[in-house]
Amino acid sequence: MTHPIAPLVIRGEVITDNLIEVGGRGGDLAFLTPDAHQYIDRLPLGNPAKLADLYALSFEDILDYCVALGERLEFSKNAYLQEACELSYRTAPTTPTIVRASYMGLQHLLSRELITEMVESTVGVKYLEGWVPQTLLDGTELEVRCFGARTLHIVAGNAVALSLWTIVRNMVLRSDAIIKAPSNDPFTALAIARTMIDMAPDHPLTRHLTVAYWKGGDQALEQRLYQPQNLEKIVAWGGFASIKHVTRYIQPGLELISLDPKRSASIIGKDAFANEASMRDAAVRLASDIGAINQKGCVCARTVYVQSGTDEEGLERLNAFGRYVYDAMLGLPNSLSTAPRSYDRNLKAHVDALRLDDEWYRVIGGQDGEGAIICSQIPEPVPFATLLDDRTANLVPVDELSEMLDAVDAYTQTVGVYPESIKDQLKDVLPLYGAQRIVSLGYAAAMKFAAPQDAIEPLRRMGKWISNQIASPETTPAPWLRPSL
Amino acid sequence: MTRTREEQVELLLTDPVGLADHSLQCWVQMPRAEVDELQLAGLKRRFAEMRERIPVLKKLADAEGVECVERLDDVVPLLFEHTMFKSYPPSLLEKNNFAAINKWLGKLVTPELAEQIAAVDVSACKGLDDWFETMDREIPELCLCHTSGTSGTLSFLPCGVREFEKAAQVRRLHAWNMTGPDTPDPQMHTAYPYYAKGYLSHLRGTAALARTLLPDPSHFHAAYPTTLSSDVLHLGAKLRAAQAKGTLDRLVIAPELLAKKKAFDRQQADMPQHLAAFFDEIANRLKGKRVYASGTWNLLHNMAKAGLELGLEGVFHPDSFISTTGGAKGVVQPEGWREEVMRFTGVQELHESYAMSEVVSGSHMRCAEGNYHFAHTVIPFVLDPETSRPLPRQGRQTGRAAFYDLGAEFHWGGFITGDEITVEWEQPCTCGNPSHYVVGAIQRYSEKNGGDDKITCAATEQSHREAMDFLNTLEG
Repeated sequence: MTHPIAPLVIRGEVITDNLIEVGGRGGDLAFLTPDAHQYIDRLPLGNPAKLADLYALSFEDILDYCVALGERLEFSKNAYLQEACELSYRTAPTTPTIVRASYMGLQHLLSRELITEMVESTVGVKYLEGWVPQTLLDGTELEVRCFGARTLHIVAGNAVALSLWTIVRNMVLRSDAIIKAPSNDPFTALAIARTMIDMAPDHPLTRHLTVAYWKGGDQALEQRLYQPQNLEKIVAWGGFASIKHVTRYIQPGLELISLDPKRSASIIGKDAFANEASMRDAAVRLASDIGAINQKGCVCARTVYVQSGTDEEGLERLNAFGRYVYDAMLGLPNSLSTAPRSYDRNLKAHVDALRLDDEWYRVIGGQDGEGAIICSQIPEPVPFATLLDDRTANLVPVDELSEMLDAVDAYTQTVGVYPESIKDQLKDVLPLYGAQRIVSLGYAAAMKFAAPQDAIEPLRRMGKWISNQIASPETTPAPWLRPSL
Repeated sequence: MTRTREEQVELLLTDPVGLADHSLQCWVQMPRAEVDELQLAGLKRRFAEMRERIPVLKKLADAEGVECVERLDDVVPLLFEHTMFKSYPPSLLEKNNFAAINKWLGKLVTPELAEQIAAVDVSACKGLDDWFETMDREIPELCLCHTSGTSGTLSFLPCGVREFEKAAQVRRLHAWNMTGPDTPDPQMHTAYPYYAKGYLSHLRGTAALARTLLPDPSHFHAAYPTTLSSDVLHLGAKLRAAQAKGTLDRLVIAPELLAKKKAFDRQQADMPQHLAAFFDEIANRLKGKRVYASGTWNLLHNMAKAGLELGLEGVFHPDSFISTTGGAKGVVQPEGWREEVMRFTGVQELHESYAMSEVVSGSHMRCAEGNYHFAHTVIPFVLDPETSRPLPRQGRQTGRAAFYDLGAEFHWGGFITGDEITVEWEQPCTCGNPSHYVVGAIQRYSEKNGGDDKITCAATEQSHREAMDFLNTLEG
């Protein structure tokens, strides 16, 4: 059997020599890729002055490039994407229809307006375009500009669009990116890089993108590469172990921007039970937050606090609602959600144990690995709440809105809220407990370029913020003119 | 003595050493075809007895549509996951709601026992230690024990005193090297480098062994004369879970637990004296005596290291029986630990075994070839790790280990482990023991996938220490 090849791309050059075999996640797809050890000295940009060519470009030039790239990322016309998509069916944690839909959506990320909106709201285009002046109280004229940096990106493999998102962030900042592709998505960034090379092989934006695969945790390689003379920043997405692993290389001169492992929750207020229509509305929105990309995103809802009441009537309401959510989940479009690729075995053991004793928990569905809604019959989540995955969520009944704050902890990212009217009560309090993103129920998977992420502003953090002070004794008090004591 | 098949099955279930006429040789050499046949018959009996009577089993069997057992594999859909024994809401423990826990336990056991459990007044129990003590006192034939997990939830295993006894009797065959029911009592002692008492399953097992192997309690020598507190262990597990979830700041500690901590502080202060007395006892009273010592490898190794540092070597009689249970449990075993244990104790060989809390009767002894031979009292299964379907009982198979514990009398004995094993079903082992056996290393799936999810016996010390450290910060 011949294995597919994932080439190494180093700044415009496609390399297919020195191939080694690499096992895919779960042993499901092996592929060949150049041995990164053989190219380690070529992976970093080297002298940071080599970023200068990017400064011959204007923001408009970068947008032009993005738009042209967007046109070439039209799935039906791009052989690289088609091939990558096909191969990703066997590496992705999701299923073919979801993977394919993600690939088909890539081109839409590259609209001129969308990118401008993202940059304006998170950095401000003018800071990327040149020095932004202001006059301070003491008369100093201050200029600030955001520069690019040599950055390593450890991208997560749970959603296809993350690779493109990373590339766009890199381009607008005029940075140099080395993308370490994840084992569960080794092909997407590569397909985009190869499209860029075909489109404009010598363009500075093409020339500042490197895509490589090596097994995360390869200390011999990482110890050499993750050094301040090679990199200024590492942007790491991922699970606890991988982030923890990266922190060992962090030192003065090398900054970590960590997009930590996160979980998400939802809060359903009592008005959801006002009538049948609102129950159905809340159910389908919640189903979407649970089921989107088969719950493989950190944005996906897992624990859901529901103000149904905890008396007998309340529990009846909750269980009926749980049934609605389950039905709505099965009805989601297959571009968003399907029966999971394989149901987590450990989780199944927990769910099945609850199924045999319905005193404290009611399990709806899940027998065929399609996903399940677990309705707690007491106001507390299941003990294995942190394991919820593969379209399995836990609805927890409560009486008061204030009890919902338990939904949120230090690892919470998104909180979906329904109905909108209770958000104002919650949005000033939830962040104190850990919530980082509050959305209208149903929109958890609609992550926005223009918004902060994980309680930081990654795009701002990915730039180097340089200041230039202009002062003279005539305008600004001078240190050397201070009186002696 | 000729017995009917029926009688043999009865013995396997109720008095396994009787099946071998109390002879180690006879026990070890039981032909595998005969064992297979008895096990199937034993399983059929257990299934017939329990199918309709244990509520949780009935529900599962109804759902799976399993009405009868013709082949061993028929029972596979009914093997319990570890999750079964901790499927109660953790808040019940926070609230000391042991009545609700008892009600839940009642669904896991036969109706007679469930009734007894329901009848115990546990409303005044102030914590786990209190509860265990009450249950021990009120239901003498029950030997409730627990394991602990970093999920913060303890598993409760409704085992019987008799189960532990039967397992201890099989162990006695080995430790006394028995040749028949009249084998003279070698007047063994036990040196146990840990707590004298506790409700963690391996402490329960140790207590049963002491009762069965030793002439009287004065022959049992524990390093610490106190009880290992299950409340403190539970707090350790909860801390880990809260740490992992980032909710350590919200953990509420009951005042009873703080009081318990004070008591522990006093005990802690006495630990060095206890240890000194322990080694003094080993050096003087146990010198040259036949000793039975068993524990996890690290407990035994720590004892050996400490003893060797004190200049103690070859302290016990060479016919002593030194035995380890459990695997490495995620800890890298240091080079030469076996040799150190043997040098300290003075024995020529270590008896290693593979066992787990949830399968009381299943201690699988390691032979000279390094293979673990299955105990006759448990039926081994190898399951596909993904689907849990049984792999064929032929050739050599690697997969998830599962067992049916024929010794379990109150609860359903089917259990799926988290261990990956390779079983040789056909080729007999060159050591001469005819049973089926495990070849090669035993690995936990969770370790394979990075990280263990359990506080195993090898890690209780650490969990205990973490809990104490945390309580110290609260007091200040």
